[in-house]
Amino acid sequence: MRDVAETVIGGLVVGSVYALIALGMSLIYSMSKVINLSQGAFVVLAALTGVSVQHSLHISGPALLVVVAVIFAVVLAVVDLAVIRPASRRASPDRMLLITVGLLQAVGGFLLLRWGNLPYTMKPFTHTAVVTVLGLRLSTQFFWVLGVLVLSLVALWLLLQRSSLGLKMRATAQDPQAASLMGVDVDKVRLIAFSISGALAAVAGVAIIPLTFLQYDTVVPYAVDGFVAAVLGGLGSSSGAVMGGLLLGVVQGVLQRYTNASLAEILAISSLILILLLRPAGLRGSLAEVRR
Amino acid sequence: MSTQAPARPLRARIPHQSAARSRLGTLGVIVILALLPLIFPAWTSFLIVVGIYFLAVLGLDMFVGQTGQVSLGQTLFFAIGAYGGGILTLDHGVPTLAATAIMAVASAAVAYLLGRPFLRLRGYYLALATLGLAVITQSTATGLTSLTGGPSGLSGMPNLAIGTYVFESDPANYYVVLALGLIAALLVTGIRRSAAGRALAAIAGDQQAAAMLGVDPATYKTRAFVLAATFASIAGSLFAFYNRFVSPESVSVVMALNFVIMLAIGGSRTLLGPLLGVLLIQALPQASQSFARYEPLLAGLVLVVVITYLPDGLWGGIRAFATRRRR
Repeated sequence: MRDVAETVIGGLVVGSVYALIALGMSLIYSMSKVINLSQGAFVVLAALTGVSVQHSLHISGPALLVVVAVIFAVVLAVVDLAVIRPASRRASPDRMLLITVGLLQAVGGFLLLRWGNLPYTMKPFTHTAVVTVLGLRLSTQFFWVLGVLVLSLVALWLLLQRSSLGLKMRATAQDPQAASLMGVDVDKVRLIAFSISGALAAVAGVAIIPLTFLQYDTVVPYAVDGFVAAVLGGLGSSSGAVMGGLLLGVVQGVLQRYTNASLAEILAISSLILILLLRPAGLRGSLAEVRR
Repeated sequence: MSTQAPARPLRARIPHQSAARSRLGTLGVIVILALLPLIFPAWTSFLIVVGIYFLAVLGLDMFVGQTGQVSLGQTLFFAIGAYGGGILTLDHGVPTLAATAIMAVASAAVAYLLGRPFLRLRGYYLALATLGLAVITQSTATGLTSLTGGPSGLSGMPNLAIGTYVFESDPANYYVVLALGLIAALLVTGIRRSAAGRALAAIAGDQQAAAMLGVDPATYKTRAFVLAATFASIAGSLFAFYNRFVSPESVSVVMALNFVIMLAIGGSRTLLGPLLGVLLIQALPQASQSFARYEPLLAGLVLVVVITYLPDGLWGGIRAFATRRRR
């Protein structure tokens, strides 16, 4: 029983990262109908940037979260300005997916050049690495990851539902043309969406790296799992993204614990394909978008 | 556009001459391709790999280029060809040629069964479902150790052989790949010019309009998907029998993305586009040992630039540039 509980909590932690990736993808998708497959790659890039920043500045975990989040808010804004915006003026949505495949490849390539092919990790944010709660031995970093997810959700909810910028963003998500006619600067709203997704990727990466090893070729699994979580939840739905991410994390965690890693991956992806074929709208999406 | 219009009827009035000239041009290209291993013997093995990937990418072009949808699952069929060919020859003593054919049929059957439900999905969702196939392919190749040899792969399968003749040397393999590449190119060109090709083009243009005109999108898309799978499977078998080795790395998700990248960079709906894309992506790491490290970054950036600025890929861009110069 204890073993099952620990496995599920571990799955929730990994799922939190998927949820944060899916949240960023979902946000960008709502604003600009672009699926940013490279979102997962920026998680790894942010994590390794965090390692390097930590190496030179020796700051505390929470401070590191803020620093890297700011850096990646800027990085993704630049990506939007330099890559996505010029491309989306010219390419169809289907081809925009290939643009983000290119970005995914490019980020992986940059990681290989800058950090080489060795895996990196980092010390946990808190000195006592493991605590016992209700008889369960849990890494303290678990709480950081879950806390980061909860805080991000609260901040995102406040922004979208309780601020005038959020109103503009929701208007853009509903109908960009109408929003633009009402005086919303749609380009600026999209830029902000990219910045937010960059910050989400950054906090996900920095929070998870003490629990795992990341290197240039972990970008593809994160990109795929984040994409899976986003579609599982229903593209464009924030609550769906979180549910999809957590569900995927737990399912993968449980399968990995009781079968082998490859079989776990196969089962997880097969069930995703089945869901796509049987209930294509995902947990919280609408059917009309999925089928022709 | 208005300056280009008078050129068309002029060319149309002299079809014999232009057809003869293009036939001569094709013959010239074939002769040059046939002489390549004699001129650049050191490049032969590189050219074989290019030819094998060209086959897979050309097949993918039949689906992606003709139906306008992205399939990221080409490695599944490449893997069926490569691993299936390896297992049949190693464990069951099936001749290589028969193994290639059996696996091509098997791939076509799998593609047919998957095609109907999968192709009902729209753009992104089809991309995701096929990406799922790529993930399953890699995981199966890594995890199903008893059958696939796990992470260390499958090795020691024989070279391709017809009867008693074994294609052991690089030039011999090159000519096999060249012959198959030419047959594939001929087939693809034929299909594009046929009613089926036009039906596919109509579906790519506007699926609903095509359906209204009596073209059943599901049937044609499934056929294109099956054809793409068959090409990939044959390419996979050739790959396994040439290298006498196949590992999860050659059927990884990265490789699946690479197939689409090669096609997108080169440009679809032509023969030279896919070839150019494969050449570029395969040549980058070959250029020099230290340069190989830059390959993923450069490939990614090139893809972004090409998709943004050259909607018809590099080859389409070159052609557009040439027409502009000629005017």
